[in-house]
Amino acid sequence: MIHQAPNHAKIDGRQFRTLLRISLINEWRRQWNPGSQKKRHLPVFFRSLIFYLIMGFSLGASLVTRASPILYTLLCYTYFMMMAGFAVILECSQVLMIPDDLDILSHRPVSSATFFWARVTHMLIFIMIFSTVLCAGPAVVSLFLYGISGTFPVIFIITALLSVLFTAALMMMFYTLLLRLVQFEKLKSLITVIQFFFILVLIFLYQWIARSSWGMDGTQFQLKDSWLRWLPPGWFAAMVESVYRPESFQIYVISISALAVSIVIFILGFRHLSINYLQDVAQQEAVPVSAKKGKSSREDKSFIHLFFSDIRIRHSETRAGFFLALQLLRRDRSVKLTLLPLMVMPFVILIWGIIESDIIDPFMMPAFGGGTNSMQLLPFFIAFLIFMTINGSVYIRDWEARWIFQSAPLESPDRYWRGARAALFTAVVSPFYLLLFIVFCSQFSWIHAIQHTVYLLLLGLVFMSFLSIRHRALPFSRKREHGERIGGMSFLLLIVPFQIAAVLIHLFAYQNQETWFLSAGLLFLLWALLEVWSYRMKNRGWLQFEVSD
Amino acid sequence: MIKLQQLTKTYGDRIAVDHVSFTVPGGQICGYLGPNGAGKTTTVKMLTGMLPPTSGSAWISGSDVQKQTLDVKRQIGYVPESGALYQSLTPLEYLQFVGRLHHMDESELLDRIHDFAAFFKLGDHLNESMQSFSKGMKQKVVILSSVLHNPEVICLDEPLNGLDANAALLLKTLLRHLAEQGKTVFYCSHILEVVENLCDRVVIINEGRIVADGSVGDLKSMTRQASLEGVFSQLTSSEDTIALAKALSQKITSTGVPQ
Repeated sequence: MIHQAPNHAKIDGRQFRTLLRISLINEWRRQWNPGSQKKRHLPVFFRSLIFYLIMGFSLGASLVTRASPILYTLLCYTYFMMMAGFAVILECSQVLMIPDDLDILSHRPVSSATFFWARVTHMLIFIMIFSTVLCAGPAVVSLFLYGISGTFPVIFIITALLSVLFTAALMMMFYTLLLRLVQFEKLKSLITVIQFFFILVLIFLYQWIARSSWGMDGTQFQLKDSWLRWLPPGWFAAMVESVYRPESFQIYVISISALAVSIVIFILGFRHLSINYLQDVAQQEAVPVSAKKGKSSREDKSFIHLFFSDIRIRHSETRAGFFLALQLLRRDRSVKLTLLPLMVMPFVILIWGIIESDIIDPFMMPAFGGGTNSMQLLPFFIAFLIFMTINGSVYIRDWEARWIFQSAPLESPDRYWRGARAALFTAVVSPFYLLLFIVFCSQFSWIHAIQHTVYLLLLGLVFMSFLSIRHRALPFSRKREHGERIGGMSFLLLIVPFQIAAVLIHLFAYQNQETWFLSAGLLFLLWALLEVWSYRMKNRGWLQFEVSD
Repeated sequence: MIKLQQLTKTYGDRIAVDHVSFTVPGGQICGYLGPNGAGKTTTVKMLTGMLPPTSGSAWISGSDVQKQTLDVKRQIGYVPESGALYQSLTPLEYLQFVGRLHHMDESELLDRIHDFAAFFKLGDHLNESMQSFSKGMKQKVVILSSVLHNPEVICLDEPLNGLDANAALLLKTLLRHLAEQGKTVFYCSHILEVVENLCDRVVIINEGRIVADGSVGDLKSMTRQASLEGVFSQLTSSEDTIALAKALSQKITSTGVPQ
């Protein structure tokens, strides 16, 4: 077998440098000239960096006045590690597991290990750049922490990058191990679930550590539970702590030992995986279409497809958009990977809300008083869900198929887009509303549950209509560049004004039943107006869809 | 030289390539034909070390494809059907990249790139981004990258995709000269006229199995057909093509998009 060949374990220095160099050049040029977009925007890479910088500073600023240095370090590191985990989850499938350049490289005399390490290094460079920017804010802000020396930010950032490196390596090892252990046909159908699971674990861990670690001690929040030190963020936090608190040397030794063992496991694991890597990815790419016979007929009987198969949509272009979106959501891996994994975030918040009894009847709850609870976060996460759905629907692996819109132009691109949007809302967003309704019913009266679900639905529809106005790309028509998924999250900043507006509306709406009905009516009217406006603007060609390069 | 012995590839229950055996000596151009999904590309991918066989063996210039994969890859030049290359690079950068993966000397590499580019009249475009290239120009770069390192065996999967008539003629002439110099050429295509005119020998595969192997003249006389198209149709299809085409054409013209 190929994987037993000893020459596949060697890394060829010249080939490694050549592969890495070309890989980075490709990345850089694609960022500046993606070739699939008409307008030239600031590359997604730089947008993401700005987003990460803002996120980092916000995190540092929100903690610095209240937390002790060890708590500050632990919480920041937990956040950094979660974000690094996200980055790997979002990019790993594209860079490491399903590379798009096998036809170019896999017949060249490059050993599996060389190929693997060039890929891994590329990804690590990418993640380390983002992480350095993310860590910079909290490192600078840490100067204002009580009882630290001037060297603290330097030690903080170096250790932070180590923690990021550790997380990235751990996640990459998981993914490559999956590639090794699971038969690829199964893995392809499981990958969305796996991503969903990893994101779920990461967010839960982050929420859990963040919520467990706070404890008031005099005037400052201190690290509450010492067992938190035994978790990976704790190891790195202890390394920082030992520098300015020598009495914690014992913790330092334990942390270093844990880290050293992990590094040895990484080295041995990656060495083994790297030897088999090329064979594993080649095997998956080679499965011909004809070998998958019988699958589609089974999938056609999905619940959603059966449910909507008889639906009557009058306009054929709307119908085309609706059913294409449904079918791609069901079958296309790249669409599923784009749209589904991040959807786990709202679900986690909802579950935390249940666990912490934060789901409170909004008619009973003091309207957005002090602190934060899950009910206040719901509009934000609904906006996030809709944003990720609408924004993500543009991308597909087979983006070149958009030639059909160039050769046979749509009579009304807007109708087509509305069809696709309706399908996306039905299949991706509406289950969350259904879940919300069930949870609300379990927590407060069913009339209030209906009212609050309707209220959130109207908010969501208004936000979706706003997004639709600025939307210029037809669904499933663009190639996703590396880093674009992380970069896409920078648009989350758009949600902030929406959240502020949602708070103001909430304050008014939940005073009594009359104000609620008035607010609901106004929201409905606003949604209808936005829909009509966007339809007219696009139908009259004032806002045009971008179809070609 | 290429040698395949009982080479087999299965995907679950499906057999893509079924105990295929043949030998292509140096200096020969061997055409490899088959209908869609017959197993041509799978065979080539196994030969080029991109895909491990389920069973059987293959050798390229004496190197075992499974045990000496890197040696095999050093000795082959491959033009994939997809014509994939890094479009954000210039042809010069791309060909330098390929040459470096083959450990070619830098100055020799640069000389060869300029000489080779001149062959396909790409010399003036060596420093332009390939994003703006036509399909044919990209295909020329892919073809050049496959012969840059002087391989012993050249495997081509639909190499004429996108090439204009002049470039196609140039390539066919080049392949003929390379074969005369002892190179082995393994040529996969659907274009039967090209295979008929270019190849010394034709191997036809259907549903993973070899159904014919010989010179074009031998196959014609064996099947009593006047052309390779007739040979191919007789060996790989049992359908009445005229009746099928007639039925569909009637359906196409019977309905349409409302005007």
